[in-house]
Amino acid sequence: MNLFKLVWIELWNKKSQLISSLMAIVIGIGVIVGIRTINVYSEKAVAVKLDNLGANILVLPQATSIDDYYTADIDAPTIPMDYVEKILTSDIKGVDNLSPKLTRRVTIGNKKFVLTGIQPKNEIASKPLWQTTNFGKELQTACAPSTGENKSHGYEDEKLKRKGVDSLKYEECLLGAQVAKALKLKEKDKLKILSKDFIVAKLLDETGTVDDDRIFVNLKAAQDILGIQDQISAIEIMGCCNAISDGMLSKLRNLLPDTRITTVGQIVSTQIETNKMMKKTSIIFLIIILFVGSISIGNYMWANVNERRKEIGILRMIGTYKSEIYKILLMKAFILGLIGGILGYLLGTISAYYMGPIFAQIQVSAIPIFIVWSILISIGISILGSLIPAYFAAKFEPFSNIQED
Amino acid sequence: MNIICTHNLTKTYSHKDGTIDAIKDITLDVEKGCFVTITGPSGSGKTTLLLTLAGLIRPTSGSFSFLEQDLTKVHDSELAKFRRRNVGFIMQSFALIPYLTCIQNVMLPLALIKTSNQKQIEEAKSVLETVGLGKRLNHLPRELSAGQQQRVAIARAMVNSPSIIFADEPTGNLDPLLSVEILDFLKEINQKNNITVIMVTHSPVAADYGTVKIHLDNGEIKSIN
Repeated sequence: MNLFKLVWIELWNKKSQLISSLMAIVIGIGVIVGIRTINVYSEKAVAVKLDNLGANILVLPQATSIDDYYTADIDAPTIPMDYVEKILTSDIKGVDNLSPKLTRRVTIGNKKFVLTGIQPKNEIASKPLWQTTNFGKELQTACAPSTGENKSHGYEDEKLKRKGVDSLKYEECLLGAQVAKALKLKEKDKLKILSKDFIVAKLLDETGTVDDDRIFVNLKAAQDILGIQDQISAIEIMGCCNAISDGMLSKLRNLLPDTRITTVGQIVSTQIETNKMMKKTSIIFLIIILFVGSISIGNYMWANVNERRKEIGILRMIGTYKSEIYKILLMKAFILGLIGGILGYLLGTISAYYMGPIFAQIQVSAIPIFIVWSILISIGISILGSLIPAYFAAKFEPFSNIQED
Repeated sequence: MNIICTHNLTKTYSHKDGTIDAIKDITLDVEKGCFVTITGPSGSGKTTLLLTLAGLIRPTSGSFSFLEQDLTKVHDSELAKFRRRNVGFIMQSFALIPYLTCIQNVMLPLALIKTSNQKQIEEAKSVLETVGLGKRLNHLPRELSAGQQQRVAIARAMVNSPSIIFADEPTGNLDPLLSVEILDFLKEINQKNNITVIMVTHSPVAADYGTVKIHLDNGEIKSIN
């Protein structure tokens, strides 16, 4: 027997009280950890996207929301496939690369994934009509990556990787890293999507972006299995930076007035704003939890101290020092804080793990350093709330409490 | 040898209607190994005297000493140290911690004097066997009868080998048969272990166990036999 064991036995003896007193602190810490975890991964994804994204202009249906960068093209309304030709046959200069897409959510087994139909480069290039345009030829001349003005869209030209798939047959599919892991598939395996069998042509490297959760198939195959003929949900355009600043966007808007044309910079800035808002929200929650958690724990400790006046009196009677009574109560607060911090971290991390893909379309995993912060904040709150009750408990006269029977 | 000495010990309580002298000018010498009983009508100051001698409440004036060490004005932690090392308590309401088992309750005083866990267990077991509760080590107080609970309290009072045991109406909640059993036990502890016992009681039967019988009235000693 020692003071710690005494505290532990008492806490264990009143589990229901312990749980109810911890609720506020666990939920509070959980919310903070959840928001911050998604926030951190969201920021990382934006950074990775800025580096890796090939396209810097998105043509989307008018009704599409771009509040969330990651979901802009998923489940969006559609636009006619003809718009691709319209762009390519127009006199708009500076279109270096172009990729029409059709994206929808699909369920395979019990798991949900994002299916994206893409048009490989060889198909675009093979269209006789398009070969007559200047498509892809201006990069060497007008868009040479050199000047500082290229930074105006949030990244430098030399960082851009002209993403695009050279070829993707009708019956082939490409799997994002997370999809391959979830479905335990490797190259050459078969995968049935809706009614059609596909062969896994390639497993994509992990990018840390929404692409990790996507299955890419040929656009025509996607249109066929989804029953959406000649329609697409987005056109990604690799526009020449000089051309963009020369009014390419307004020309595109004039050409396709019933679409929403936006640059990656705009979308990412929306996401950055969202991230900032999440960060602010987590700070507000931190302040709230500091108050609510302290009051909740303080309230529990106060009730606990009053309920245990007699026991504290007994301990004082047999020779326990005031400082030891103080220590007992702070030890209790410490244990409550420790448990609250761990449970809050787990709650937040598990929530983020499941909520991240749903609300932010990003894969989220645990951030170990957060457990340290969770525990420190939780213990701090718990001790803060217990200081006054502990101070009064230590001042209880030894015998008066025993007589209260 | 005197284990406790008091000189003009007075305890006054303040009240909205004025002050009340719970005990007045008590001068007393208690020899080591005595069995002292304190009797008197309700409100005569018996419990106040007991608690003051035990270092649980401070006198308003006068002095008291334990083995010639003046404890009247020592720091609160010194009084606590005095209690944990030298004193055992037996209360009418048993004063057991309800969520601790018998053995854990008895181990508590040893834990306060930093005895090793193994030794705590050994000594608590031994003393619980002495009071006849060797088979109830892991029972909670609520699982025991009143007499058994009081025996646990006695075991706790004995376990740190105190010089003195203070008992406040130890048989107040017990039937006559159990009362005799507990009183016999206290007598045995007093005689075998040479532990001084100071007991407050209303019961004339219990009072007869004393080798020194103090009668209080209105906060003053009326007689010492």
